[in-house]
Amino acid sequence: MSRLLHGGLVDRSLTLSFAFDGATYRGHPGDTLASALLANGVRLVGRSFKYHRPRGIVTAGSEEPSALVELRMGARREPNTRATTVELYGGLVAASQNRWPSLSFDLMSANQWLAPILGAGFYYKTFMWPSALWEKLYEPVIRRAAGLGRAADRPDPDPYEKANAFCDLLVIGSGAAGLSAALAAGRAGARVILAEEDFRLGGRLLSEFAAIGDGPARDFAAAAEAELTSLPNVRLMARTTVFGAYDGGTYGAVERVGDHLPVPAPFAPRQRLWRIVAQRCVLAAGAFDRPIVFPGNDRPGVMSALALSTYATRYGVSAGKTAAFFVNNDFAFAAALDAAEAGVKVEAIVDVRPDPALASRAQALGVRVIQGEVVGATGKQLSAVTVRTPKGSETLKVEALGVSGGATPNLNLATHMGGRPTYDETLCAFVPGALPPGMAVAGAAAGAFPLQDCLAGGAQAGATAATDLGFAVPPVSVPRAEGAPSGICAFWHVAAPGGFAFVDLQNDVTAKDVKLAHAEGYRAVELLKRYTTLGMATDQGKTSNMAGLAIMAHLTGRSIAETGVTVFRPPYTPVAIGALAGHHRGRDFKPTRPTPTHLWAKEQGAVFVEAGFWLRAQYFPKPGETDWLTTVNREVTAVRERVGVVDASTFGKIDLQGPDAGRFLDRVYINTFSTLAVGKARYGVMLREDGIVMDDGTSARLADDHYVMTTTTANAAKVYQHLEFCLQVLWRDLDVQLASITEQYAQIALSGPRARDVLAKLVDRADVSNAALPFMGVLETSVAGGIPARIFRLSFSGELGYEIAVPSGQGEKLVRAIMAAGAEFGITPYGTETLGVLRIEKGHVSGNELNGQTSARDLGLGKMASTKKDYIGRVMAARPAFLEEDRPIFVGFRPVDRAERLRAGAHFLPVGAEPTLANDEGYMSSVAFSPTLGHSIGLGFLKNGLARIGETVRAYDPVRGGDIAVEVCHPAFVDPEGEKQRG
Amino acid sequence: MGPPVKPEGDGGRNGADAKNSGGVRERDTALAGGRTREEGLTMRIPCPYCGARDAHEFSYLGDATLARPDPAAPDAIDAFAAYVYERSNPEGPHDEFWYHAAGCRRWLKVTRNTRTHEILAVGFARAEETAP
Repeated sequence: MSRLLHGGLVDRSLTLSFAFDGATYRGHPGDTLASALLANGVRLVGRSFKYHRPRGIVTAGSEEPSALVELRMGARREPNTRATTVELYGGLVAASQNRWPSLSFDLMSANQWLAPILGAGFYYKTFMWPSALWEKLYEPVIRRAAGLGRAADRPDPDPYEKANAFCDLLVIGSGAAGLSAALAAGRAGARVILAEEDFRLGGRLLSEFAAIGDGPARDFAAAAEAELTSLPNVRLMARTTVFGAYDGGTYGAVERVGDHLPVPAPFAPRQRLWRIVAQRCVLAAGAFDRPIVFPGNDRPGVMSALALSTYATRYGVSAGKTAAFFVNNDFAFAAALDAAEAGVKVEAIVDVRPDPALASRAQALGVRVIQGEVVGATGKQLSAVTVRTPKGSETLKVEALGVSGGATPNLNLATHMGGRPTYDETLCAFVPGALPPGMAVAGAAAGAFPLQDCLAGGAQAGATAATDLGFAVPPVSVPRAEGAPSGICAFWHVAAPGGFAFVDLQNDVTAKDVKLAHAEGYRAVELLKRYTTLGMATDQGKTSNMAGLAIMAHLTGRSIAETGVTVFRPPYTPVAIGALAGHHRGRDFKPTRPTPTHLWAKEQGAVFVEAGFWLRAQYFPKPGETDWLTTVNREVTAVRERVGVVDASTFGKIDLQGPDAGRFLDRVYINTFSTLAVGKARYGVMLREDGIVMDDGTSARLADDHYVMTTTTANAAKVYQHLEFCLQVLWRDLDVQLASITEQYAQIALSGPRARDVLAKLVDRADVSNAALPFMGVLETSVAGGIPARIFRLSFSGELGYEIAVPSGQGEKLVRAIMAAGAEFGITPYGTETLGVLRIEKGHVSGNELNGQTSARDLGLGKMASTKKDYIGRVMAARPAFLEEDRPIFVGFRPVDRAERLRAGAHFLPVGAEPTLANDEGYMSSVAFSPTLGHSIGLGFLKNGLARIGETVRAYDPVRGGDIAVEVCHPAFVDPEGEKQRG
Repeated sequence: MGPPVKPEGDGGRNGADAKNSGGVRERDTALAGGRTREEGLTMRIPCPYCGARDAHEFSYLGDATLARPDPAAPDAIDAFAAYVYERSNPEGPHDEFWYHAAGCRRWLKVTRNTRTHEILAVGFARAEETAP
């Protein structure tokens, strides 16, 4: 056991049991999986991506490149989880990744002996040919060998949700700078959200023994948290990672609501995706401790100096029985001393600098300081390091080595809007450049590393944000913090022979790979990244990028500033797809929009279909009908011979009122509506301004200044938006008001020779005779015992037909009344399939014909167009190309051999012509089996079609192997004179 | 009666068949007035009626400086061709139409910097209209 005797912020009074690779271990509340593994002496936790080298825990935070594990089991199995951010809970189960057959003995580790040929660009160069082998052989083999964890193979059982938040100030990070910023703005009364990715607030304050005011840093953090909690205008969000900065002060964040529990609490999601809109933002995300590259630097036990210290101070864990440090800066030196103070047996601090500022403090603590460089590390798990000093070389027997090459400000979010960081030679670090609007950066993230500067910078940033927003900010007092020096000597890479010296642990990129990229000309940082994959792993090179580009800078003889840095893009850390999807999955991918008669249709055994936004009855099978076509044929025949009923509520309905309503319709339809008599309806066609048909439908005039329009189901919103555009932008002088009433009315259609008989029984008093309510007539009355109704005598099927509109809440009552009234006439409910067959038999155009390529003339509706007025699309519809004689025109088709089946999508060719594009004469748009005629029928577009009725052409469908002779005919297969609907 | 005929698609009873058979009186499309767009993390537009709202509540139309040409002019067809098809792609401030579909249903004239997405000005398309 490596748990120190005392200290740390874990609750030693409680013990949690957990499993890793099948073995059971114990930890405490307050541990991460990483700290608990180290406390149990587990240092080997995974195998590397490419060479399958043994790997351990490297950091103590979300920047972890190495300790990736599979967390949980079964459907909840989550790959590539960073052990350093997983909060320990009782019963936790984790497994190592990318090893076979076992973590300790991995056959694939043979890859490392192939390293001389597996270097950067190996795959690009080697698997070039034969290219056919790539998909079948190379890729599967490479994917098996190189990889990370396995995703769960079953659907995620846990819920996720999305939420919005708005605030004056968003503070990202709760270290010294973040807490100070939140306090300054919160005390002024600003609405503050403080987001912290850790489960505990405090950041580095939890891990360092520095003093703030009269007490330890962690007491300051606790007091600040208590005060912020007491402020009603401040919201503290722990376990929340802000992963992206977007336009307009919008930030994306993911809150891990239930990740620290075996399963989420009842009615709580596992994770919640937040969209936070903030007037101002203070980025106080701290800094990363970056590595120094030297041979053997990936041995389990080699880790970040600050992490080694954090495990000791925050978690009460010594990462090895003995430890050493290898540093180039005072922060890490101070952290090493903190570790020693916490009880870690520190053999030595190896510092590349001759006279580190804290040498005397080390001496006082009895810690040896060596000036030199670590040039090698040995042991499958670290057992010794070799130190090169001016006097010679020395071996230190240690199980842990804390390495620090300096602090890299965590400016990831500051670059999401395109701002480029700039290099500061004194700090040896990139600091934020141009910032997203409304963002300020404070503390270590801004390169202001000393604790006093973090406190002051954070307070200043919080106060400035609140002042900008008009809050009266009380005088800000910054507590005095123990001053620590901030010296650093630029040092990136130990030039020493022997072994792998890794730059990017997660993608197994070595210093040698960077040299190879340089030698082969991939010298720009963006090329270096893509050629070697440096920084392209799930950690996005948070810790590794700096060393990589420093080595490249050295090789090219340029400065680091000249070499530049690759940019960060969202997300800051990986975000689960489940969180991004929220509840939008499966049936809830989009809202279900049932029609007003849905429950009734369900009772009737209807089969439903998603039609645009709606869920509609597709057909109504009867017991014994095993084939849908049998059902549809029965429904069609019932309508043609008796009467049928269908819910037509999904068509868009728009109410238009105002003295200019008629003139307005004249300008948006190709035909005239201002002359329409009150109490009458008319079919209308609308064009887009480019002359193509946009939509069709009927509009009825209820009063001089009152019309009601119907649109197709799919175009309801689009037409409404278009009409508002016309009124608000094009013709501001017209006095017309619009309202969408699609959802306010249920509209049920009755069709068939007995429709009037049913209607007569349904109306309370009105006369519905052919004289009183003629074709295209409109009647406002009441039905079924007092339901107010509008009755439109319209026909989509070609039969005698009526559409009855009632308030949508009454739709179900109406359809039941219709069924009761129609029982004696054999009334039959039908769905969208029969609706389609009926309209194809009648030759009406629909969505397949209004396809965004057809003009009114193409559709055979050109004669409707008025020549006495202007309307949207009139000018462009007269373009010569639209008037060419051999443009494909809407006609009907039937197979010459009536037993053949037509196919929509088939193209027409002259009989005997080669199937070439030049010979293409048009296409089939809609087909159906017509039970009325007993054979397949089709609608489509054929060059100069109307002049070719009676001709035979070839319907060629190479995709499905169809090639049949079809006869061109009039599109109305049933009742072309329209007598049935007028009768 | 001919032989049993399945709808186009050979996929059995599903929505795609219904569409392909030409049987349903609508286009099988999910586009409708901007309301279907999955909520993205996008810019915010200060609507004069509704206040600052996320861009996903709006539909975009484009250049707001174009005027519908005189349909009676002798060169109307050329003028309309330019009006319908010709657009410049400016870098920097751009006047454009946005429709607040999930809000007040007003057409807005928004001046947006195409480089930064900064919203520089917002007004009603109907210029004389003012917020209550």
